[in-house]
Amino acid sequence: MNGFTTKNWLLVGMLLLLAAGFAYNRYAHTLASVPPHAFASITEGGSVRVLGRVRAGSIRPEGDTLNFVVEGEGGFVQVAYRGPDREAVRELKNLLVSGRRLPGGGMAADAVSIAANYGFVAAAYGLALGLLLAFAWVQERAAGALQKKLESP
Amino acid sequence: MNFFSVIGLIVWKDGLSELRSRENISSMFFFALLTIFIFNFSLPLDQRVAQTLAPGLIWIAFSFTGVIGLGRSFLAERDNDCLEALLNAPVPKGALYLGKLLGNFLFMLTAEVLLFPLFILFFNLEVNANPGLLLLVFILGTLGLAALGTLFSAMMVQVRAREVMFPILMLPLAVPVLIAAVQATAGILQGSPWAQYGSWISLLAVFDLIFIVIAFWTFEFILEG
Amino acid sequence: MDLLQKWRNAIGMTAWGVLAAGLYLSLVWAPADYYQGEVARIMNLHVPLAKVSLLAYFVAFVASLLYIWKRGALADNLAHASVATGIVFTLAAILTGAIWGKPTWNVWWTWDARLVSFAVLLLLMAGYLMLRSFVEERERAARYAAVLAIIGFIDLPIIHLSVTWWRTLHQPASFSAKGLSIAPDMLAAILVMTVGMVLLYVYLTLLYCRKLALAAQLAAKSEQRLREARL
Repeated sequence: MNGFTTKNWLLVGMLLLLAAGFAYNRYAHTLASVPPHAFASITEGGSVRVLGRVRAGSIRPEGDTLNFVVEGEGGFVQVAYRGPDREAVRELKNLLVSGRRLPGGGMAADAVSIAANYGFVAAAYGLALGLLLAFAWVQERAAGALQKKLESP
Repeated sequence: MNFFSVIGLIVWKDGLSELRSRENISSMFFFALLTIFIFNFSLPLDQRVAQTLAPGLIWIAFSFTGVIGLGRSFLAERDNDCLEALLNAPVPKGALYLGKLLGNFLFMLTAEVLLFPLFILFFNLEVNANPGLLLLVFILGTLGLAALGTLFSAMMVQVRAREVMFPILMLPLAVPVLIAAVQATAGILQGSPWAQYGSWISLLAVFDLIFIVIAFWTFEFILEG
Repeated sequence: MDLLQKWRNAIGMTAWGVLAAGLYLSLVWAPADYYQGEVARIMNLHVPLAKVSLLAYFVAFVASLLYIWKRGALADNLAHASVATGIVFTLAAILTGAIWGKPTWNVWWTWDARLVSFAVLLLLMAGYLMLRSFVEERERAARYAAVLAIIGFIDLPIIHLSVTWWRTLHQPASFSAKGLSIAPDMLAAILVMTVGMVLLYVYLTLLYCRKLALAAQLAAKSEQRLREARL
């Protein structure tokens, strides 16, 4: 057996795709979000995640609920947040707000987190692994070609 | 042959040929002068800005001087087929390196000393600095550049695309010299207290020592065959 | 040779397997960072890449010393292969660092000691590979490259030191990646990724060594042919 055969490469490809699949799955289930102007398309009472910026001057605490507005291009959502991370809600901060859409507009949120820059994560991993995979593949090909040349008369 | 007499002979040989042709010093000098001209055209240098940027510009000019001058160290030997004679001479190769280093260093320093007053002139710099200290920084910085440059110049004799490879190999390694020299020059020109730039001068001295020693030990290895 | 190839393939497959596991841990299992959010996951990639880059240059340094001492083709091949592989890791480290830096500090690049040292490392490795390709004779190329690797390795800490001093003049050390405390879950993920990257480096270096050895054999064979044809 000389070098990585097609079987080896397929196995490597499968392993990496598997990991990527899990990552995408997690992204879709915990990070995928809608911008504020698409909020209206969510069914009332349904769970939703909104990605937007906290509007300046909109933060109003009311007992154990923190009210604020999260806005984006062409839309905004009124949020009533009940949860532990109240300090995370600051003016002009990009947040990912998770909760349920309330009947009659607005949402009741139970979690806020920093906006997920998943594009950067995907780019970094894709680039690095792509470089390494490409390098490995090129070297295997080159070694295989040299081996063949050596064996032929 | 005595170790030190070999060094002296090489410096004398290079110095004599330079005195007659003035090739190296003049090309270094005029090239650096040209870079000063280009600085003036490309950068908005009023008197105040020039004062701030001066140390950096000076050492950029000196680096280019080094790349031009040091790259040509072994040119004369190669062109006149003297290289084999030099390599086969029964002298310690380390002495060869030190001799070449000293020669290169003196040429570069001469060009720099001629250049600096012109620099002050063209940029209208106010210099209330200790000239002795300034000369010390020039010496230490030039020694560092020459130490690296002489070694790589010897390597480049047998390498394709030598004019390009020489700065590519030499300049990244010379980063500490450039940083330290610029900071020390800036400190002296601005009249800062010694504590502010003294450590840079020490760094230059240590760098010079380390790399002259390393080059000394590896020179023979480069030259064989 | 067959046993060596089997080992090499085994190391390679293990490397990719460990990396796949590391990917799962980094991207799925570990929780997002409290301050940086998802972007902190890039560190799980960047730190192992950076560590392996330095490892690669260190191996090239030791191999170069060995070559100067013993003059074996093995030492020379190892140095060459280590740099050829290492430059890929270095480039990936720099790129992932920049991609991490943009959302975190809002800059793609900054001239602090670590980044300058890595940029110089990239230049040194590139210069090394260029030098090897521009010198005709194999033995001379090996000698020159060995000297370059040794000088470069000794200079690298000096460069780091001088840039650190220079930076403390202009601004206090605010961007210290060391200051970030890593959650224990993330630590496990980084460790797994590091192991995977080291294994990958070993596999790729062995592979490149094999390529160099094959190329040398081929060159010797064609030279033999030429000699026979002349006779």
